[in-house]
Amino acid sequence: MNGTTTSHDEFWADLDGELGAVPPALELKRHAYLSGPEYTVYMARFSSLGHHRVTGYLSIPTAPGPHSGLLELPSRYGSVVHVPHPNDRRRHVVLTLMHRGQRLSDVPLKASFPGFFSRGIEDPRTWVYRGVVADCLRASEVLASIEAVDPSRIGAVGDDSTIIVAARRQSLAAIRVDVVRYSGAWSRRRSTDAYPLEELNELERRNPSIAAKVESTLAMFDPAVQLASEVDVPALVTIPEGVDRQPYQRLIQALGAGATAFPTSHFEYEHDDARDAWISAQLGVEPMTRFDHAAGRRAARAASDVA
Amino acid sequence: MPATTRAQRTEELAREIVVQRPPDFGDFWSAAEAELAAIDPAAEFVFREDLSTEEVEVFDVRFTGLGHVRAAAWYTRPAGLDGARAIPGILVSPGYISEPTLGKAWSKRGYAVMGVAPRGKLRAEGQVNPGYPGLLVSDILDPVAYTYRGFYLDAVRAFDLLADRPEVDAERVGLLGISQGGGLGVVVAALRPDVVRCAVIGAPFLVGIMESAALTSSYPYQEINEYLAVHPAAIEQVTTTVAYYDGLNFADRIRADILIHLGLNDDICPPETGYALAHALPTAPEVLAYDTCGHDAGLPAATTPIAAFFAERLRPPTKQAAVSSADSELGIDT
Repeated sequence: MNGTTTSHDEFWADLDGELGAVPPALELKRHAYLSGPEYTVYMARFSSLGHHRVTGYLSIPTAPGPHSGLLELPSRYGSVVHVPHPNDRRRHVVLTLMHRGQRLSDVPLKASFPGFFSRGIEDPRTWVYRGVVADCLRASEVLASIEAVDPSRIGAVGDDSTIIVAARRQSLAAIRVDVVRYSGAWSRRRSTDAYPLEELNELERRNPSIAAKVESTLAMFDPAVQLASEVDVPALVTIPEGVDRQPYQRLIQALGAGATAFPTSHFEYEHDDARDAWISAQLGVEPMTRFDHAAGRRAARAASDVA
Repeated sequence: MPATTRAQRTEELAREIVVQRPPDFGDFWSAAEAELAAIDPAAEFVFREDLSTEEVEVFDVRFTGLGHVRAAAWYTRPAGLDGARAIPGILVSPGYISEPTLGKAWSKRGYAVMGVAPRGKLRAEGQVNPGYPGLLVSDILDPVAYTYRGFYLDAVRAFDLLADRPEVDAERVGLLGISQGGGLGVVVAALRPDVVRCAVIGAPFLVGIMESAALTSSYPYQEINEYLAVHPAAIEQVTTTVAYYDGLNFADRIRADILIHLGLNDDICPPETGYALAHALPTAPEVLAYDTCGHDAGLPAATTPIAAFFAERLRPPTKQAAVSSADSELGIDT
């Protein structure tokens, strides 16, 4: 605990209170193209902070449940979110969030990239990511409310908003942190000119006097400051190759004994399978690979053609 | 490390990939290009001080493409150019779901960079917005109305704007893109064979399109599978339409030096289609195949040979520094 504790607790309690006052008003619309024999996919619309309507892909296996739940939170900086992979649709009830500003959740706020990350960042109460995190929290509530979900087997994957959700809600059984957005952002900006962190550099160049305020805002959202210590579920944290490891190590330390570091070297094939195996084990489903070798794919297709 | 045996196996499989070329393929694209040429690009380059640095100047670019649709780009160049010597240029085309590249990292190394935002991308979605998912099957039953027709030519027009810049040496212009960006590189190199000096094509999308859809259930190709599941009778027309857009049918027009980099476990753009592209090119390209990689296609390890490939052919004025390993700087994504 440190000097920010009181305001930190108040900040997050205020956010929860404000969000709690907004009913989810969940609306589901079946998506004909994305649905299939093994799963039904809905476009889910629900209200979040400020009554902003946000969207998610909700996929429910057609086999009798209950099923594990998989919450797909933001993992990349951009306007487009991919549809959940068929492998995940087969195994879990999946909710993939498009947060405010992203396509299909962009009325009235439409994000610009670059520009979104630094919007309102001089104050934690005005930072656009306060709303984004609220969208993540609300998505976790929506997924937990789906009848086909086994409430004891809900996992979250994505950026370190997974940690914030795990800290503020008790519904998650495991979290997989594939990328970090909030953790150590202020220090990580120094070593890159890639977005979104380059926005912090731009902001500082334009207006050096607000640097302290920006740093303070980011600290409020940095899970390593406090929220990670409130997480008591297993966590797998990816550490990419060639980065300053200090923010990651600090995060893992804050998460405590339940955290596992997963250093990667950008060998996507092996690492993706390993990460899938980890979350599958946590949620009690069989692992599946997205990567079938070319020969195997062709052989399978030839067999299918013969049949 | 580049692979050997799996690469050889994948390359053999690539020889089975055949795409029928529509008999009027050449006329189809000649007509499209003539249609584009009749439209004033009305290009605007607006300096963005807020995004610029001491080393790199950034411009917000808007231009008009096919059907009088306004598209966009980010243009970056080294700061402080004195006009004494022209610099090389690189067109960076975006992946399917990625945002257009703002190429500061490359401009710091001496290149003028155009990161195109074809129609439907942010800042270019005012008139055409098929959505994601959706672009791949947007008006797919009509080859002329297919959204990719204008999308492809937006990339071509952005290339023309880059090559026409007074500070750019039009004889030293290249292409860079991964996934859809790689597919667009094939198209631009084919439609501007006398101008494109070299191209780096990573994990190319839109190559062997129907074959790819049969081989994967990952997006974006999965959009075709889902479309055909709902409209099974449309397969013949879908196959006909995409044949006009398949990179394999453009490949024999290409004269540029080509570097192709692939992940041999790519679930999104099956690697054998990358080899099929290599086979279809008139001159054998350099191929980097990474056994343990998927759609990252060898990044960041591939950044070093990519930087060397461009430096050798485009000769930037400043000494090449090591390219950062940040994937986003190279625009990787689908």
